[in-house]
Amino acid sequence: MSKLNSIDELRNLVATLKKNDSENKTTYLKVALGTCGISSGAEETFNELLKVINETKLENVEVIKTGCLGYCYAEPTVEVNEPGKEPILYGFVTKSKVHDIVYNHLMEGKIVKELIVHETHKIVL
Amino acid sequence: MCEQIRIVLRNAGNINPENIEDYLKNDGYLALAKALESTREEVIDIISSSNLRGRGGGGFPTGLKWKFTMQAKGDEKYVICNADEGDPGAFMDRSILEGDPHSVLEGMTIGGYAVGAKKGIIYIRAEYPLAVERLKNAICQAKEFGLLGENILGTSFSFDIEIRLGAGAFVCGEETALIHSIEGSRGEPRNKPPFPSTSGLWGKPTLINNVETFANIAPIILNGPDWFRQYGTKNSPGTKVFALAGDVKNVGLVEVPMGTTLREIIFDIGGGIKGDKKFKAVQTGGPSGGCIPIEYLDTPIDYDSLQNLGSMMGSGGMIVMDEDTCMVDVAKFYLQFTVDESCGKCTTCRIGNVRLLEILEKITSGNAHLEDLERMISLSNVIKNSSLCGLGQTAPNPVLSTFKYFEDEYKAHILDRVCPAGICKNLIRYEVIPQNCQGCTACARVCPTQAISGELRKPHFIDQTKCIKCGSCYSTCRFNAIKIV
Repeated sequence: MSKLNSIDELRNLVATLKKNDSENKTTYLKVALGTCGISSGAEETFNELLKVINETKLENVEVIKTGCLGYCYAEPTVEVNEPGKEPILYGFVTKSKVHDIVYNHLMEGKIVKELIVHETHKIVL
Repeated sequence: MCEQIRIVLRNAGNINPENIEDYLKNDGYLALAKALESTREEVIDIISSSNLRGRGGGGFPTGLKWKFTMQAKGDEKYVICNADEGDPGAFMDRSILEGDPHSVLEGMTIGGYAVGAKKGIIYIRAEYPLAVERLKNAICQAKEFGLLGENILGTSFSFDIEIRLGAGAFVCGEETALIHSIEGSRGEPRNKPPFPSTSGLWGKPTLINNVETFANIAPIILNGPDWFRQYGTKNSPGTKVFALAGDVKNVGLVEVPMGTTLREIIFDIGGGIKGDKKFKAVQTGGPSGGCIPIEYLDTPIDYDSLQNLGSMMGSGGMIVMDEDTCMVDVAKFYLQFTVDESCGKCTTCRIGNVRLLEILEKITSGNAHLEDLERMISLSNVIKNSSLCGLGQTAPNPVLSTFKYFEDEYKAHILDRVCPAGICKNLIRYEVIPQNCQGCTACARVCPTQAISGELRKPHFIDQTKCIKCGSCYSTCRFNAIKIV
C-alpha cells in the first residue's frame, strides 16, 4: 500500500473498501483471539477451523481472528457471519466442537442451538 | 431486559485488529480526516460540548484538559495514553487495545492535532504482551498508510506514536508517577499543580488520557456532541465499559450507558450470581473503590453516584461477591494490594497502611477488641487526608466502605469470635456430621495433614489439633457430611 497523500484519497479508499465489502459473498468465521480467548484454547479452535474447512473444500469461507467480543465466560467464541444473515455467536467452541459447527451450520444450514450464546449488546454507530 | 450499548467496543470482536483495512471500512480514520479539515478550536469545542469525562476513573472533563494543554505555552507538547491498567480484576483497556488498537491511535492523533503535539506515547504495562504486539503492528500499518508520521494525509500536521513499557507498578497509573517513569526516574507521584497540561513530560505541556477516553474520541468527532449526549446521564454522558468478574455467571466485558443500575448490569447482562447463591456486594473502582451492598443495587451508576456511596467509578472493574464472601477478608485483600504497591513516598501511606492491615489481621484472627475499630477508622481518615496521590488518598476506601455497610460482620469477628461467611481460618472449624458420613474415606485421602481418621463405612473424625483448615475435605465430600462451624 502506498501512502495516502490527501484526505480525499483516504475517503475514496474507505468508500472502495465498503463497496467491496457489501458485494462480498464470503462467510466469515470470527474467532475471538484476545488474551481471554487464547487462554481458553481459541488458538486450537482457530487452527481446527482452518483444517476442517480445508477438508470440506467449502468455498467462500474465511476464518479470521478478532479481539475479545466481551463474552469471556463463553470463550472460545466463534461468530458465524453469513452474507445477508444475522450473525450467530457460538460459545464454548473447543476444538472438539468445531466439527459440529462446520458440518451442521455451514454445510447443512442447521444452527447448533446448544452452543448459541445469547448476545446482550448492540452497536450504535 | 437491559441491553449493552457499544461505542468504545464498536469494533472489538468484529474486526481483525491486525488488519488496518478492517478498521478503515468501519469509517476508520474518517474522524481524523474531519478533524484535520477543522480548526483546533473547533475540535476542542466538539469534545467539550460532548461533556466526555475521563474514563480512567477521576472523571475530569476531557474537553477542558485538551483546552488547557492547547493553551499552555511550550515549544514542544506531548500526548500520552495511559494504558497502565492495574486494578485487580480489570481488563477493559487490554481488551480495547487487543481488539481495536487503531481506535486508540486515531483518538491520540486527533488529540495531538488539537493540542499541538507532534509526539504521542503509549505507556502500557509489559504484562500485556498481546496488546503491545497488536499496537506495534497497528502503528506500523498506520505509518505505511500515511496516517501517522510526517505530513499526515498531505497536511502540514505531523504526529508519531511510540510505545513505552511499564514494569507493572500500580502507582504508575497515577499520571505524574507515570510521567516520571517515562523519564527514567522512579515511579513516584509529585504534587499538583502544576498539572501535566502545563508541565508534564520533560516539563512540557502534556495531554494525558486513558485508553477508553481516546477510544471515545473518533465517534464523537464523526457523529457530533449531541449524538454522544443522548447516551448516559446529564453529568456523565456516553457509555462506560465494565469488566464484570467474580461470582457472576457471565464474566466478561460489558459496555452500558452511564446511569444503568448495578442490578441491570449484574442480573440482566451478567446473568446473576454463580450457583444461584445470594448476592452480597459488588466492588467497584479497584483498590481505590469500595463495596456496595444489596440495598443500593438500583442506584443508577455514574461518577457522582458511586462517589456518594463511598466507592468510585475507577477504571471500570466490577467484582461481584456472593453470600460466602467475608467482607473483612475482602478489605484485607485490597489493603494488602495497596501495601504492596505503595511507592513509599508518603509516611501515612507507607506506614499507615501497614498498621491498618495489622488491625485487619487482628480482627480476622479473632484477637481484636472493640477499640481497634475506632483506631481503624481514625487511622483510615488520617491516611486519606494526608497522602499525596490518589493511591494513598483512596487506599482506606475498601475498609471504610465495608465497615459502613457491614459493621455487623466486623463486630461478629470481634465480639463473637466468628466469621459469619466461614472464611477466616482462625475463626472456623471443620467438623464431620456423623449422620451424613458414609465412611467413604475420600476426605481422609485428600487431607494434607492426615487429620482425618476413621474406619471404612463408619463416620470419620477430624483432629482439630492437626487440621490446617485448608477446606480440602469440605470440597471433596459428596455427602454434605462436613460442616463449617
